[in-house]
Amino acid sequence: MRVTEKIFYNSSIDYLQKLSQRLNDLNIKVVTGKDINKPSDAPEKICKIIDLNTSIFNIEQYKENISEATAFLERSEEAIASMISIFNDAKRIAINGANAVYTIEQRKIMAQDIDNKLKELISLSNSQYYDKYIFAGYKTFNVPFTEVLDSNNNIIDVVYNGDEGLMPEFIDKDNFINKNIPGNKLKNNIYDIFKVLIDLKNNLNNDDVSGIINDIDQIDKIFNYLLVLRSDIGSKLKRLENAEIKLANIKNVFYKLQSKIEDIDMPDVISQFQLQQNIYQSAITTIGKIIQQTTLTDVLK
Amino acid sequence: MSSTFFGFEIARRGLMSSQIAQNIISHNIVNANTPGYTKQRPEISTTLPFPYPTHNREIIIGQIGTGVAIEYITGIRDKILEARIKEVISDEQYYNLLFEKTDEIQSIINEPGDINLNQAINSFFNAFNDVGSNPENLSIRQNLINITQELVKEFKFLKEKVNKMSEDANKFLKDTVLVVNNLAENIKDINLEIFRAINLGYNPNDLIDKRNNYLNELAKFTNYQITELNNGIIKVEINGHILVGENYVIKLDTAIVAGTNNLKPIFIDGQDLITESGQIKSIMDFRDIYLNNYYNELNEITISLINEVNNLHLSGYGLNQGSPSGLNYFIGTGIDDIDINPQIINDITLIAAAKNPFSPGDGSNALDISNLKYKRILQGNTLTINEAYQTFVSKIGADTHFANNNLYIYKTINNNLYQKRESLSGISLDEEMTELIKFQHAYSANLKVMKVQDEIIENLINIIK
Repeated sequence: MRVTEKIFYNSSIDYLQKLSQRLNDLNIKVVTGKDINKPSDAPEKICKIIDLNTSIFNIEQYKENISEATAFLERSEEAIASMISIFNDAKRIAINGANAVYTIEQRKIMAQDIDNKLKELISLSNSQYYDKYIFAGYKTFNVPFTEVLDSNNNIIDVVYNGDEGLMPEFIDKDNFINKNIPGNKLKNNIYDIFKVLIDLKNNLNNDDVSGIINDIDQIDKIFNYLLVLRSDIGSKLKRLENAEIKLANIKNVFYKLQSKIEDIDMPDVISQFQLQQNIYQSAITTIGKIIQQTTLTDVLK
Repeated sequence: MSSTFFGFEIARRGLMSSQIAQNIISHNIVNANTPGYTKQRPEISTTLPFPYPTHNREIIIGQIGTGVAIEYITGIRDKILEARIKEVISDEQYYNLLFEKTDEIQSIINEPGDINLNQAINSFFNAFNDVGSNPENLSIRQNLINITQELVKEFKFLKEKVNKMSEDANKFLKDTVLVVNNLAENIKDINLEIFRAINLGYNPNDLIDKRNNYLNELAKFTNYQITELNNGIIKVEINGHILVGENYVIKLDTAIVAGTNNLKPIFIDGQDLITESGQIKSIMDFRDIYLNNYYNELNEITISLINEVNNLHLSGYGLNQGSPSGLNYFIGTGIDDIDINPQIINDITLIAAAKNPFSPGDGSNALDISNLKYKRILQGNTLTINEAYQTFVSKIGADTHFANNNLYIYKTINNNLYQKRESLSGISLDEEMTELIKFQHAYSANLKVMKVQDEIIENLINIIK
């Protein structure tokens, strides 16, 4: 091939351009720490990157859902635990009331005590989380349990105004936990936490010992039922805790995967960078010599 | 017998030829760095010998040479190579512009990154989840509105960028048409000069180089075919339609593509300009195929989002409402006009989070809307919104990658051909210097011959005293 000066210059410039380009590419990688900075860097991997970004983003949401559900369930658990202690007290009073040594006046004082417990129970059933009633189903704006009074202002019944609505919180795709206990769990045909105390109060007032003995059984039944409700909440809380750990693990795995796809192998890239730099150095040295070399013109006199 | 001064004439011819050759070499040297310059070479041959073989020729022992002459000046060029260079320029420029444009789209969608459409969509679905968790909470409802407005802004941003790129294409076509017209005029004018020079028996090397430069410039914008006529004139045709004729130009113009705001290049006689490579083809392909596809895919995602969200929202209940909301969450029919229903912005309790009447604590409808992110609602119910988005981004990535790869390939080919052309037609200063000295020596030698002739004749004249 016939080589002219222009060929020298042109190929030198072209070669230096290519080297500079490669240096620049490596520089961007080192500066951003990422192997893939644009979709075109790896069109086949970009789907996976977006997928991982979205998954990590959604995990954050599930974590929020989990803390929301946990707070709500803890609030419910508190209320149920207080109810359990009320029935514990009520049982003690009932056992005393069934004892023949007590007089009718003493039973009336006990009835007063139970009335107070009943009011406390109603107030617990109307517990709120922020500004919503937790045992109201979906009717969170309305007081779920209201008293029915007779002419003497005695509570003769408690009415449930809520519904059976369940509030799901998603802790993963297709996987949810209902965070609330609707009020119909506290008052239904089989279990009515209020009726037992109202009956006990009436029997104490009426000095009906056999009725009181019967109420002790009923109190036991409700007591055990509330324990089941509480352990149900407990197991939900445990599930939430496990889900959170699981999510943290998955997130970790996703991060690692993301890093594996996106991030550069720093030592590798830096050594490549140094290699390219060396090549560039030797290239400019050679090119410098070539373009300055003595030509025939210099020799001619 | 020839004249006494016969030898003088031979020496004179030698001096003249050497001088012309030196001038040609000087011209080569000064143009060593002129773009597109082609090395010129004197074609040297002997003049007609004496006597010329006729019946009344002189009877002498043989033909005597009469000296030297430069017959003509050739440019050392390879027409096939030059035609190939033009093709490759067109191809290179096609991918050059395509890469530039697809790369621009890439930076607009900002993937992988933190602020982009994907994050806006994810945030939107998660905001619905938050409302589902706390449907009574008004500040969480307000947050959903804010995040939806961000999403709408993102859609608008993308739509505006796409429109802007379409407008840019129009502007590019308008400018390009002017440049091409100018080049065509220049080629026509040079054609005429070349025609005159050839008719006068010259070899117009420099004009041909100049015309070649214009043709290379033209190749950036469009591919074309060249027909060389006998008189040195070339005809330039684009896909069978004449751009530059023997002494006329059919200029280009732009016209509106029916039913759109887009321009297309046409000849002023009304015919469409159909090109196969070059920047004009590139911008048309980008706008009509690539950009159009991207827009359609975005629009499809937007339409699915609007329809599916509205569908669920319509039948849901607003905060503590007794009857289904019957309201669309989004208004608009696609990416061009998507917006959040202003009624809902004015009264955020209208967000239909519930599935049951008078149920402030019911967020199940909002959760259903949030879970649309997992529903396969696109491409004939085969893709989720996120998957469709992934396909969209990876397509842009692949297109840019494709353009960039081809650009690299054609750049390399082009450079290779350029080097080949330089190797053939370029100026080597060493070579020119050698030639220069060669003719310098020849000139000196001719002077010597002249001097000898002079002495001979001087001696002859001095005999007679």
